[in-house]
Amino acid sequence: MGMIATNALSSTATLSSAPTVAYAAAMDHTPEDSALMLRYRDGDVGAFEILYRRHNDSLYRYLLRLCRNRDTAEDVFQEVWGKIIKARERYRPTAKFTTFLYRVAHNCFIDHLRRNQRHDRSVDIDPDTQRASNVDPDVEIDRGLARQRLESALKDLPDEQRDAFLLYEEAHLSLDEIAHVTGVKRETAKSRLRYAVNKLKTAISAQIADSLEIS
Amino acid sequence: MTKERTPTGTDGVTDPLVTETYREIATERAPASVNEALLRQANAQAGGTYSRSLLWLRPMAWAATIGLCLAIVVEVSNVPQPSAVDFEQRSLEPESNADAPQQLETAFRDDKTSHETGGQRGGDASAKLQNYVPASTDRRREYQPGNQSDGRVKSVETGEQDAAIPVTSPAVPERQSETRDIATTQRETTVDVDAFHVTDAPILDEAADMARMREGPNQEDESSTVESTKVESAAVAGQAVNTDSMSLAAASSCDAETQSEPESWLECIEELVEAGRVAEADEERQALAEAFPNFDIP
Repeated sequence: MGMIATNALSSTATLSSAPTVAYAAAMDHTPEDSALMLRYRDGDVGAFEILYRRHNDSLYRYLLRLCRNRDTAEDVFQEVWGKIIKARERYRPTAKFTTFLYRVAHNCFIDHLRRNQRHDRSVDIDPDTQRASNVDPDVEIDRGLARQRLESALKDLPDEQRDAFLLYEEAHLSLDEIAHVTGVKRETAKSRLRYAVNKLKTAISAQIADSLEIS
Repeated sequence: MTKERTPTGTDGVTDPLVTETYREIATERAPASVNEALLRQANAQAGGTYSRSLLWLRPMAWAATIGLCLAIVVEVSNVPQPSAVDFEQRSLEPESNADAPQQLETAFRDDKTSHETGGQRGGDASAKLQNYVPASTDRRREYQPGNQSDGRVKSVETGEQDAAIPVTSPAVPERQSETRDIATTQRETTVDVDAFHVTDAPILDEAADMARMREGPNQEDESSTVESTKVESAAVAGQAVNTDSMSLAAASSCDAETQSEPESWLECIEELVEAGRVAEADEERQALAEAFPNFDIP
């Protein structure tokens, strides 16, 4: 990662800064996001709105499941975007904007954990997530149960594994990018992601096996 | 986010079932209030940046305004303020200029009248015109020439009246060149006499006033004496001019054209004898003998 994230996150805690420079050369760019950020740096507020609409929901879900509390997630969410806005003048398109964004979000979450020592373990998930569909009620019940198991398993994941999984699912980051955002080596990130996926898969598979046994 | 999964870069760690199930539960969206607040903050920050980039304009504008005001104040303070006296003079100037054509018209009218009445005041009017200066019109207007000045001017200008005046001290005829010079300076003498009256008459008036003030207002006799003194002084000046004019008249008993030829000069002498002016005839004869020694005078 270049100077951008380092400057923007100088006050925030990082897990490790070792792979930062090595990772920057291997990352691919998203010119659209970088161009929008550069336009916003030059005063184009509309460009920032496009950029915000493109990433706000995924970032919000990432923080919501990472913090496991809606109010906390909203606070961190606003803090993250506030730092992005303030860091626009120092922004240089040397890395993928998504990587930059989620690195800021990850560090803000770490800061939040350190400020509160122990974050709220209460889960406050929107009930709309249990949405209905036109599919067969039995199938819908099975999927509903699978979602509940996945949600439950996701909550039970360690923070590092959940972080790696959410970065992969919400930000669509690669292992290198996950390693860079979380500040760990690539193999560490890969291990975390593998453990997380396996646990979630086991939870879903167990629910499927139970439903098959019942049927 | 409902994008297609991109398993690249994960080394086969991910599972499609887990991903699909997670996509089904991951439907939360950021609150609209938070979105509005953040977009408002972004807009304000962008505006703040713009304002910060133009912060230098505000002190510059103030400095320019203050500098301009100081320049105007200095400029206004350097402009000379017109005093009350200047204002009065300025207000009087157009009036005096307006009187100038009127005075010229009056002078011409006087000149015309003098021509009708025998040309006595013609020289006076012409002298006034020659000496006319618009700035001193007020002083010239105050002066009104008296009868004495008219008489003196007449005695100089008109030679026919001088013939009737008895010659008290006949001038000795000099050379012809001097006679010609005197004849040519007659007009200048006329102008000078008039100028004398124009310029010195107020001085005489002032001298009389001073003498009157020195003697006191109750001594009317002495003031009348002062008046007579003033008149006498003017008369003395006039007599001086008359004396000159009489000598010129004597010298011009036989004019220059007559004296150019001995025969005509002799005829003039004979006319003087016939007129009973024997003394003048003798002097002319003597002058003729000196001028033309070879001419046989009978």
